[in-house]
Amino acid sequence: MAIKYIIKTHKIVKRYSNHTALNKVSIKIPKGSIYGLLGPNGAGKTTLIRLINQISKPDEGEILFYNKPLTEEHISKIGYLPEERGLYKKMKIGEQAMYLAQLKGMNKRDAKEKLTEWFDKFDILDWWNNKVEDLSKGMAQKVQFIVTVVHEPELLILDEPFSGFDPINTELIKQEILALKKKGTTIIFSTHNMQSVEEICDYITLINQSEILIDGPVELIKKQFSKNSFEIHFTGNMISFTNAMWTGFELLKKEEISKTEFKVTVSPTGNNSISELLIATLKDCKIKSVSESSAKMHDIFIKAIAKANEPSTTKSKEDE
Amino acid sequence: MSKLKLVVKREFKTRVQKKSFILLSIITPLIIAGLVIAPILIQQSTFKQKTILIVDDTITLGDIMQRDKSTKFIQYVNMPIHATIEAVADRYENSTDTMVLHLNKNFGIITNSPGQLYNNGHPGPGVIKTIKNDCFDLFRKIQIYQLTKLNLEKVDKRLGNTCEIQYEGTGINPEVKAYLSLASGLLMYLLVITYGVQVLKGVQEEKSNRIIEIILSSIKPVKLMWGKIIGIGLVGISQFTIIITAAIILFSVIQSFVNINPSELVNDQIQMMNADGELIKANLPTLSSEELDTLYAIESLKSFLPIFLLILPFLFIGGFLLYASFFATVGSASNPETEAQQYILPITLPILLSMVIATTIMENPNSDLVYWTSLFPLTSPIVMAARLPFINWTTEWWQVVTAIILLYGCVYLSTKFAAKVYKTAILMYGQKLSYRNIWKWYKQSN
Repeated sequence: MAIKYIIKTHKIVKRYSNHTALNKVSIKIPKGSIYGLLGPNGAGKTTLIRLINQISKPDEGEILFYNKPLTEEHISKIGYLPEERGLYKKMKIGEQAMYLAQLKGMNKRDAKEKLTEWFDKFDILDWWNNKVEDLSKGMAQKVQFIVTVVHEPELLILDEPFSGFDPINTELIKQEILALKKKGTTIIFSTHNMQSVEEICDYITLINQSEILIDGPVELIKKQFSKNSFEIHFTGNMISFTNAMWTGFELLKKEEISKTEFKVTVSPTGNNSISELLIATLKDCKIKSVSESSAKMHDIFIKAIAKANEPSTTKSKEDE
Repeated sequence: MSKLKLVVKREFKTRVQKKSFILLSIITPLIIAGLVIAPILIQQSTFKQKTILIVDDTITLGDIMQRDKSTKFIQYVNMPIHATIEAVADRYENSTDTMVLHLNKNFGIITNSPGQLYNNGHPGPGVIKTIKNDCFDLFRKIQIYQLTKLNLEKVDKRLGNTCEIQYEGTGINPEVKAYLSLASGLLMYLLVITYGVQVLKGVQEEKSNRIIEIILSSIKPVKLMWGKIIGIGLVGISQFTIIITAAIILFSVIQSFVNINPSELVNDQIQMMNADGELIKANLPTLSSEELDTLYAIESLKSFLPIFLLILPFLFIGGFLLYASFFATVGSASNPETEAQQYILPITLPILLSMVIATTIMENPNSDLVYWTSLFPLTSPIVMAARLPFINWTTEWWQVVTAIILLYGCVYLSTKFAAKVYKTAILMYGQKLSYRNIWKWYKQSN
């Protein structure tokens, strides 16, 4: 079955007076997926999010919503939780949530009904008539999350949704995000928290210096970046283990659990196979576990950015 | 409900529900009505039902005072000839509304000093002044009669009580015009500056508390800006209407309470002035010239009110939109952490200048400065408002029309400019507020 894309951007360009914030960026966001938008600060993520939200317009290229050009009528189908988010401090939270829900196109009755449900679910219904200045940061964050999802958008854009939450509330929000995904909501998830990307994202796009560096399904990217390496957990003598490796293997990482227990990551060089190493070590060491280690998103991020910045650094040096 | 309406409603509701709005709406009419009514009220309360008992040693003057000088506020009662001052003073010792005036036997022919006044309550300066005036009038008449032997009653009839100047032309007393001019200028000034600054604060609030990005994902920036300006403008108009209406109602209530009908009084005065031959003696309570001025002012205000209420909202809306768009521009371009004060000053300067010019209109309504600034859009909302009472509607109406056309032309340009800057600047953080940046953001959204 062909994949249905909720958002497609086609070579979009956004320029500000003296720099290009996005340069010919094309992405496709499959319906029902959680799509991670990654990149260092200033890469252009927020600009891309603002374009999808129609807060600003691209200078070139087009954005399609289910293959149709993005228009004002799509606003009610998108929910957006910006990274820098706030509320009116002097306004009652219930009134404020009603206002924001109605701005998203809900009628008064539906807004009241759905908001009551959500407030109840997040255990803040008693605070309906309180002002935002009376709330803790976590509570205000909950209100912001609620007003983002209350109109049941088809596309949810979450920019650092976990910032400001304690671990319990982070888990609560994470579960809500997964529940929304189950219901068919597509989620664009922009974050610097690589662990959460690994946990919940199906696809990612890594943007660096206004351009796309990597994009695709998370599993595929991880595979591409994993070096042929293995994690071995053993008890015995480390020197004997190192001797067994000799020149055929490279030691990538060593973790000493006790004087006789170690966890190491090794990578075969040339055509050597891991079984050769295991046979060689069996004499002096007792192998507890062996697993193929896959690349971590954190490492992929750092490596990819470093690699991308390399040629330009060399170039600029040459220019000098 | 459309999104624009939602924003207007929120901006309006949150401000109208504020304690400061409610307080201002109650207190201001009280102050306005109080300022108009207080002098009359004070005067009246001191004049209320005072009885002056006269123990007359001159034998003749007590009767004359009782007959000629009694009014509805002061009643002179001449005591029987055998009453002694001790007996009368003792008898009325504890009465606060009754006083005893002892007329010296030398009063009138020999001396201008009538004698002693006995009283227990504080009679108030008005009462004392009236008694003094009445006594002095008697003394004057006696002295004139002694010198000229003229029939004073006839002389009095000829002279009447006071003289009035009839003002020709627009029909409004110049003094009333002056007060109205100052009042309308001041009102415009307060409305434009108060609600203009509210637009600035409102825009800054949304930017600094970072709700702006959430809202902009639901509504276009230009609509949001307009919603804010309209909402706050409506708050201004509501407050204006509440204050004026409440002041009028309050004034009518107090007026009926103190039982003065200005139009009747003024008409009486006019009838009296127009009569040929012997003037009718005015059957009026003794009113001071200040009181009469107030009464004239009220009467003139009634004839001026319709045109005033028709033009003033136009000037207010235009002036407010013009300055609101400037304030919105600075508000969107400023950052919470940067000081916007130096950029607000150039906006408030023409407003302050307008007010200074408006105060000169009272003295010199036809100066060149007033003429040009009442047409110039940055100053016209306030200067023209203050000039309105002096406008000759048959020959100068076009000046008002021109001022309004120029003002709204300028409003069109300034709101367009503001919308463009706002659109880009509202999401810019960490960038300095400067004229260069404002221009850059304007160009960027083109």
